[in-house]
Amino acid sequence: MSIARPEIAQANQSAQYNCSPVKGSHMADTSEEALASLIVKIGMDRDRVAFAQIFRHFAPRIKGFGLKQSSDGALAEELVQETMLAVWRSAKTYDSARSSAATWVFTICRNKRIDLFRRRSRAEPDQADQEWESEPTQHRFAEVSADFRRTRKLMNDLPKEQSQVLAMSFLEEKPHREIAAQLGLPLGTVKSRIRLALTTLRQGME
Amino acid sequence: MSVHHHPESSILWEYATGSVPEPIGLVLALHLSHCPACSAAVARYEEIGGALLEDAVPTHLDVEDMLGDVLNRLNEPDNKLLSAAAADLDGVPGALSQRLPTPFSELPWKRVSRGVSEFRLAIDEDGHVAKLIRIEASAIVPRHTHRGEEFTVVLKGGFRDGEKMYRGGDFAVADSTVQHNPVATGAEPCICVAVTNAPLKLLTPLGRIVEPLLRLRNHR
Repeated sequence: MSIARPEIAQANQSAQYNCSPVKGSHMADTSEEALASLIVKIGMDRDRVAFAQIFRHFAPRIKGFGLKQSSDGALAEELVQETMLAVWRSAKTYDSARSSAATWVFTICRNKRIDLFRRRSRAEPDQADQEWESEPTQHRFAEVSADFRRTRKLMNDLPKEQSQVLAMSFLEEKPHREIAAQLGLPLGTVKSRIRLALTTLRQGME
Repeated sequence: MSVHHHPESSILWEYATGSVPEPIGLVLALHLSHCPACSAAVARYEEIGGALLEDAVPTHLDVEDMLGDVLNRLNEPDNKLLSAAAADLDGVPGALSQRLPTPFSELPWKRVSRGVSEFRLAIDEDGHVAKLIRIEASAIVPRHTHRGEEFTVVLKGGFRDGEKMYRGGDFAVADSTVQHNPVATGAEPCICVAVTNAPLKLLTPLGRIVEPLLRLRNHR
């Protein structure tokens, strides 16, 4: 490991980068609020220390996400690099009042996975057409973090048969009919389990 | 203008997680531009995606090594992905105009039947084919069914299918249980994008003769 990178050495003194005034831990704070604050710092100040912390948190997770889709470790690592570079470049566009850090990083990772693994681009809705988006959202930063925590808890509480198909369709990019074949289930059952899971989560999130 | 016909949640989930073939993503994006409810659903599904990413068991990775490499690359120029675009001056949605070989007004439409013409987009993926369909006012699409599924979004004008009315932004699904001959309503031509994953099956007497020839031409 290179010792000539001051930002790496600095980031290792994680106590001073404990962003949450409530937590007193000496470990790097990776709460939802802390991660969101770090991304804001990257966007506003080009803060490489903040970037290093975000990197340490998400890189292993992104690699895992990439590996589920393809067993190609090199491709999964390319996904990590390209995602994190895009995080650096577009951090200014992150709106902590609209989504959690993990959600925002996920959308970048998803788009890069489509680009790298399938050589395609994701079709996006028109920005200008979405007049309702320009209204200030009711969500504020604290609400976004609380909502996100609640989503994670709701997912843990899903019946296993529902969380299983949800995770499979999420991680493995398999069309529903392939999931059905793999699990030995009718196609309709797979679709309805996903719908049930999404309904449960939506009702819990309201 | 409110939208009445929507995609179901399982296909929006696949869109949110990046699992749909590109043609399906296109028709969904075209619907989402007009639909706050489905857009909110996609945002919730992206949040679930974030939660799944957050709780993914971290894989072994030489983090410091890779971090060093990435820090060296932070000043690289950006090879931008096709990003979200606004509709152009003629009102053609960005996701569509980005995928056309010429400006919309210069497309070489192909006549399919009286009053109906189409242009096939070059974004086939996983057996899915996308076509722009243009139905002149009051023209009728020949009666047909589908061997697979058809996903349609209305861009301009509207059509009636049985008792259902479809207008700008509406999303329609048809499959082998459906036999239909949609009629363009209103004074303007109806313009749609339609995605199929198998050939149509014409049900008119002439169609039974002509269709095998059309199938050879249209769905290869």
